[in-house]
Amino acid sequence: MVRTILHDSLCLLVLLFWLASKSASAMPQTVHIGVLAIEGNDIALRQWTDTARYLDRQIPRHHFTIIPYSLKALDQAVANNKIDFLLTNPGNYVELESRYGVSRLATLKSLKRGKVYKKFAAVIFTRSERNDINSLADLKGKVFAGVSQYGFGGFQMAWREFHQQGIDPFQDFADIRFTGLPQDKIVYEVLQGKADAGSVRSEVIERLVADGTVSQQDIRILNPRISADYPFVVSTALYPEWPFAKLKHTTDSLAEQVAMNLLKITPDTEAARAARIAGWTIPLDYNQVHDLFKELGIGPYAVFRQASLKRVLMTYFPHILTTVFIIMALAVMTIYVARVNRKLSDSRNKLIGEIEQRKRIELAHVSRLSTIGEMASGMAHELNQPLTAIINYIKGCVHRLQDNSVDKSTLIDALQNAAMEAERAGAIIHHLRKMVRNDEPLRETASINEIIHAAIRLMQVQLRSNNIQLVECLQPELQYCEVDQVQLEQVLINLMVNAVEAMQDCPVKILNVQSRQGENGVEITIRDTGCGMSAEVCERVFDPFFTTRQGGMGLGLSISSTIVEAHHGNLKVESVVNTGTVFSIVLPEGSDAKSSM
Amino acid sequence: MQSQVCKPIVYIVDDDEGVRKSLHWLLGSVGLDCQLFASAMEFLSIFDNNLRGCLVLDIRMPGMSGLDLQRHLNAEGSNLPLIIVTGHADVPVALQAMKSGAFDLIEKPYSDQLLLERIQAAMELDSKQRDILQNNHLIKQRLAKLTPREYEVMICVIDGCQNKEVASQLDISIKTVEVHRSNFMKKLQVRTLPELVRMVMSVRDPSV
Repeated sequence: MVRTILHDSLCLLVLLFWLASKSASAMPQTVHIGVLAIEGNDIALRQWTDTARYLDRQIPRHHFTIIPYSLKALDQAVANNKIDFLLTNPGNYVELESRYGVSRLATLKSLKRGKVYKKFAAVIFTRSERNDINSLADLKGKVFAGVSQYGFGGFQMAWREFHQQGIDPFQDFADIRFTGLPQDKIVYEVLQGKADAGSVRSEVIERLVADGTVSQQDIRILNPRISADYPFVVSTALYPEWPFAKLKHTTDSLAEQVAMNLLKITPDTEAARAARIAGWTIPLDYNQVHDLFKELGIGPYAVFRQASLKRVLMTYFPHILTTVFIIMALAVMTIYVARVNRKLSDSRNKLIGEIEQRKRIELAHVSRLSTIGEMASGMAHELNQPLTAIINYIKGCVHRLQDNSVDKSTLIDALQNAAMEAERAGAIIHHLRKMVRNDEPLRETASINEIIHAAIRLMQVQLRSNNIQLVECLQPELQYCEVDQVQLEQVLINLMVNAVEAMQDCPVKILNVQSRQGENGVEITIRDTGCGMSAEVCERVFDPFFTTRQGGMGLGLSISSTIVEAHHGNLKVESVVNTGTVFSIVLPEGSDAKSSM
Repeated sequence: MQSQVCKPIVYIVDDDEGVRKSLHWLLGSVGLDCQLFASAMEFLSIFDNNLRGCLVLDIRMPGMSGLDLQRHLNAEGSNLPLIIVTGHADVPVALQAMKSGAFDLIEKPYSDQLLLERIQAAMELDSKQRDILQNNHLIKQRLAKLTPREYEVMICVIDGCQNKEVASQLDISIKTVEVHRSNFMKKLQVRTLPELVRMVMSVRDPSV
């Protein structure tokens, strides 16, 4: 029982599928024809449905439908391949051709007064009463009515005419009123005075007059032209009529069939009569339409629109303004930054200079301090002498007073001496302070030998404890020099300390200090019997931070050399390894060439 | 015969004039005589072993240092006590000075009391030393006056021998011994045996 039901269902299914496939092949293919409905959807359908029926009959197994579109909708339908064929105005066709690759199959033939015409034009008109408007130029500053910026017959043709006469509708007219379809509205606008003039495609006014809606007298055509290719007066050049075109995707075989049958249509058939056409002819050359678009720089040629500088500036004025503004702002900022930069740079250089200067002073100070540090025990010793003397004098006074064994004048003498010793101590302290102080150099006329003696005094301790024999050969009558005493002492001590260091482990330890009057000034030589220096070391010995001493700073000789040079003198060295070293200072004479005692 | 006696003087050697003069003043205030020298060489030029007193010497001096002077004086056999004054207590130097026989070391600046006290002590030492020296000299002179026999007897007596033993040792009669004994006691100017022993021991060379 189940098996039979199953069997039956299966048979039924197979039958149904067979029928379906059969009917599929029997079902006619629907072909959509898109039509630009310039007078409205109803009129478009009325006009072209018969043509569709005709094609149905001529091409079996195909069902042709008419779909009316507005300009925009037609564009979208073509873009989305919703239709297979289209019928539109030449301007729109040229654009669709360039954008979507639609290609024309036939051109419409119109029938007027029994004659066939393949072209049409636009009419620019005004109210007859308007005596102030006689030429296109008179329309400047007036209100104009058109169908739409994209309407080929209703506006673009007129626009080209204006353009050729040097009129820019968008600049020169007071206003343009775009009424939209149907173009009848334009006629009414003008007649009602809402616009001063307008343009419609040819035939619109003829139709309205034929209807009785409009009286011929009320209308005056501007820029009139008459041509053999057209029966009526028009205002613009003639352009090829509407084309019938196929979309890119439509098959060539179908297109051939449609074209063939369209061409067969005669004026007496229903298809022609309903559309009020004479029929179809082979597709015309639409270059003129291209020219229009080129001239106006619209449609496919919008890119190549002749850009006058004025137009560019007008269009991009805000952008240009912004860019210029930005550039200027950047320029200002750059200049500002550059100036700030320079100021910073100057400031930095000055700062670096100041820091260097300060560093140098600091270094000289530090070096002097370290020299002083080495002399500390010498100084302390120096102070001991006067202190001891003071104690002795005063205690002596005390004892004598206790014994009552003294006379006033002796006492006074002793106390005066004590005071003098105290002053001596003060002088030593003062000297120490001068060495420590961070002052600018102070040039004074001074006796070189005295300075040498002072330096030697400070070196006493070191010389003693290192068992160094000191030999002094100071020429008695040296000329005075302008020197900073503290600095010169510093140099001498530095040289003597180095000498002591050099003789550290040597068998012979003799330090020879000499002064004499040379041709160039006063010469001071400090000679030691130490380990000496090689030629390479001699060359570098005045370099800062160069030292052969363990834990030495290497600044002493560099600073000494700087000091001597600052005094316009020079500091030289000669050395023999394992024999000894001689440092010689030459100081030029002072301005007071007085001889010291 | 008496040696030439110089008056005890404090000899001061220091290159600093202020120190010299003030020391002169100070020492004068306690009744001490002194002589001032600006350098070691100056002092050496007047030095001889008869000088009495003491030497106050600064170690840190240009030319010949204090230690060099000390060496010189030691070489000349000087007994003059040495007080070294130093501004910086350098341990090695001080050690050397003391080892070389300095009497004392004082650091500057010093308490005057200390200095004066040490000078006094030094002077006393010098005095004592001189006295001892002089005494020894005297003793030696007296000893030199003894005849050889008298000397031999004396040695035996000092060694603790009785007269009887001395006689038998030297092979002379007791009476001779007694005569010799009386003689050298008189020559040496001693009265008791202990005195004799002390005197001789004080000049005796330990190696003999």
